[in-house]
Amino acid sequence: MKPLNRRGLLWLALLMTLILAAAACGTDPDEPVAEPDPADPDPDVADDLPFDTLIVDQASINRSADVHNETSVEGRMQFRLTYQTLLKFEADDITEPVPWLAESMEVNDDNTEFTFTLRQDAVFSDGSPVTAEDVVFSLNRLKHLAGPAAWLMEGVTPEEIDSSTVVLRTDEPMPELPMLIPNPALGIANAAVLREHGASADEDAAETDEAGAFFESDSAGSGPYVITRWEDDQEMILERNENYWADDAPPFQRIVFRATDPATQRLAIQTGETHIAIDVVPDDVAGIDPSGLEILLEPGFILWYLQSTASTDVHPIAGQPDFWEGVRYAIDYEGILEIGGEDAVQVCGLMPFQVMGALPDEDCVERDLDRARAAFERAGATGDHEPIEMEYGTDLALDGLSVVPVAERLQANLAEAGVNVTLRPALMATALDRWRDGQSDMGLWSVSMRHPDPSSYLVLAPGGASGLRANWEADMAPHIADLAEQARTETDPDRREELFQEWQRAMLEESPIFPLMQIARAIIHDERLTGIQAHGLYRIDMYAVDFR
Amino acid sequence: MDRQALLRFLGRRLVSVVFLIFGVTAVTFVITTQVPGDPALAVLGPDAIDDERAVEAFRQRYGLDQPLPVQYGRYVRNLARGDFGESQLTRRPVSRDLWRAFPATIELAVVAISLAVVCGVTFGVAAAMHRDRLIDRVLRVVSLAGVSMPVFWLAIVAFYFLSFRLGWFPGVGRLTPGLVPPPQVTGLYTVDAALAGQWDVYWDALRHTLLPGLVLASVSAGQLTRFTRSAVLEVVSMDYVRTASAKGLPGRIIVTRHILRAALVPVVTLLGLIFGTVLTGTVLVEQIFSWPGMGRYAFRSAINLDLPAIMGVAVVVAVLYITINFIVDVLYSIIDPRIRLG
Repeated sequence: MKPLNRRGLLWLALLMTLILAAAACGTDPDEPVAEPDPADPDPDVADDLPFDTLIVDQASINRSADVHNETSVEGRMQFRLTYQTLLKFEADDITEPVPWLAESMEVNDDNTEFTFTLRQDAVFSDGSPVTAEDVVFSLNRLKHLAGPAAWLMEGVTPEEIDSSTVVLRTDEPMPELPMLIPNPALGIANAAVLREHGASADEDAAETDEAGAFFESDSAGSGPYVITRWEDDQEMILERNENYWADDAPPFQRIVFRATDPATQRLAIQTGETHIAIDVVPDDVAGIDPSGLEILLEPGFILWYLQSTASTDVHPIAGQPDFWEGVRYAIDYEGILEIGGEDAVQVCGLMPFQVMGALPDEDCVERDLDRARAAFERAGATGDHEPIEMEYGTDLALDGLSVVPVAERLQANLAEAGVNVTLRPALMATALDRWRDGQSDMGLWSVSMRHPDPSSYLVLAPGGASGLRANWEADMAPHIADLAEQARTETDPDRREELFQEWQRAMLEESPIFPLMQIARAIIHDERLTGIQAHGLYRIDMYAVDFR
Repeated sequence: MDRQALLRFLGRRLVSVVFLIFGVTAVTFVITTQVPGDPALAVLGPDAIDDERAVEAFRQRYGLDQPLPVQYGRYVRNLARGDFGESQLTRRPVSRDLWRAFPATIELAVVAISLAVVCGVTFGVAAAMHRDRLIDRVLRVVSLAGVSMPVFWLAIVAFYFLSFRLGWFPGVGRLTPGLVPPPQVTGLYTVDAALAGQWDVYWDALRHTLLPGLVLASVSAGQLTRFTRSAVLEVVSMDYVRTASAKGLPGRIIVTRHILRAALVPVVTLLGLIFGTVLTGTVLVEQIFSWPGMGRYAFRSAINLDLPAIMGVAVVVAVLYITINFIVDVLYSIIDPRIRLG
């Protein structure tokens, strides 16, 4: 065997060092680099615009580029720039949907038929008109793919009346349906294009649809942008749709949504590398140099709550109403808000204060340790008993805040009232599994806005999806379940609001669910931009973003 | 080197690879499936979990409605045909996900290991040749710091000072936002950009590898410095080195021809371990630098109980380890001809 050629090895090492050194030198700001630098004016941009590529950082991006197979909060902001819905919410109003692809909507008296008339001027990115067939295909595809967003079409059947009229029929009265329609997962796609790429809207679409790959580098919507690239957990790039039919498009040629760690976002927004940072932890905001930036800090839309089991089989003490009363008055709500940050607010009812029907501050529960101790005594919670475990997901951070310190604070609150609770941290996937199966003694959970209507929070009612996780059946509190059903089906807006408030007050008195807070969420953006504000459904309504 | 000996060695290694992969899949499958939790819930989310049809379709699609032995048997059978299955999270073939993530990590690892070897060996030799003098003390402290510092902390600090404060390095990701990646041939952006003649993309991609590469290299460079120093000190006191010195050979010749050659043998052994350290480090570093590689993919798959993806990562990492150790063994025999592959 020939001995190693030392000289060759040395040359190799030298070459490698030179390459690395040269690359490092390439960081010289004077070095001509062809890529667009978001901090500097782009040479290709019209003279009156500061830049033409908008960069938006979020902790994660949509898991799928298929609009009908995705319902994450992250995905909503991107998808609605590409796929439009029959109705939409304006940037500053989530209480009433307004027409978008539909120019009008008619509802029958019992709220089981919703007739949409499509506007005539809307076209897809290939120039073809948006028709009723596209609407029916898209909604059926969403339903039959049986993906994470399929529940939006549960009990709803779309039907084409003519080329510009669609009826959505529901199995039972559904006054909240118009509030579901603006969800970007109900985006309307070009049926012909999707079919061409293997999409199916048939009942067996979950097995037969093969259009997944198409969506990764293309799209077929009517919005002002088309998707040109999607890399899971990395970035999504949208380019301007030259065939866009309306005049409300944002002024950017390209929008890049990146998945970026919150700590990195905090730095990137200060260097000008990104223009909008959405997931900076509120506590980190104070350390940011605000020059050139605008910082919005306001309560988000996620409701944090503590839940006890309603079953004495799961835990003989935690399942008692007296125990629930003890927990309700043992919690130091103001102390919890300290963890949530300066702009966190107590949730007085069971829905965020921005939603119609939210309870005013007067209804907020206040700590009363004497009452808590007395209730715990009655429940037998203060003596020796089987340990009560409080579960939560260690990997869960809501609006950037970890749930761990909140769980620890709640444990301390309960201890002050004489009850020892054991913390049981787990990965979310594990904790949620036990929660779904109703095995948790206690748990620290959250509820996001499914749609901006108070009915979104009825999952917490007895017999509701989340109520059942606490083993709280409808017949255990029939009057509360009845109030929930009345509120859900009431069509008169004023009476509806009253009923939702009555329902919440009853819940605050008797339920094993204890609302805690809405924490602040930060949106930091380049001060040259305007129109940016937190949106309950879309995170940010990107259509409203413009140059100042 | 005897070609036949090399072929025999290669053959034995290939056979052992089959058994190792089988073992890795079995262990990974058992551990992952024993973690309490429902992948359907993790992937579909709490909103969809009451949609029985969605949950049923999910379980059916991924065979989760089958008994565990059936699931495992099906996985191994598909793997034998080169099919890694479909990721439950991305709904894409795992092989396709890996084909995107793997080159990103390799690109980072190559830079990290190159930097670690160049710095570690140079510093180690320098420290040994100046034993107990200032340069030795400084390098020992620096290498100890490199070994001791948590890599995620170092990543944040390095990004803050070197990129954010000083602007010496670009931001996160593999390319500056808005820059279109080169057409994929190898998946290594630097190589693909060079092949396509896109030199602006090439420089941008190379610049983006440097800071995460440096961070990843820090631990390994520290290890290598300490290891090289010890190995050189051991060799320096040997008779043949003293003889070479007595003959009046220049110091450079003594170091490169006599000392380094002998000292490199144990250092090469460490390369296999360094590769492991670098791969482990990528999980955290890729998270901080938004680097879409195997570490980030593995982390996300693990917390979402995405079994096919976890298995895919495990198999690829196992094969990689085996390959690297094979290369190390071959290098061994090249550096020291007295060592025979057996």
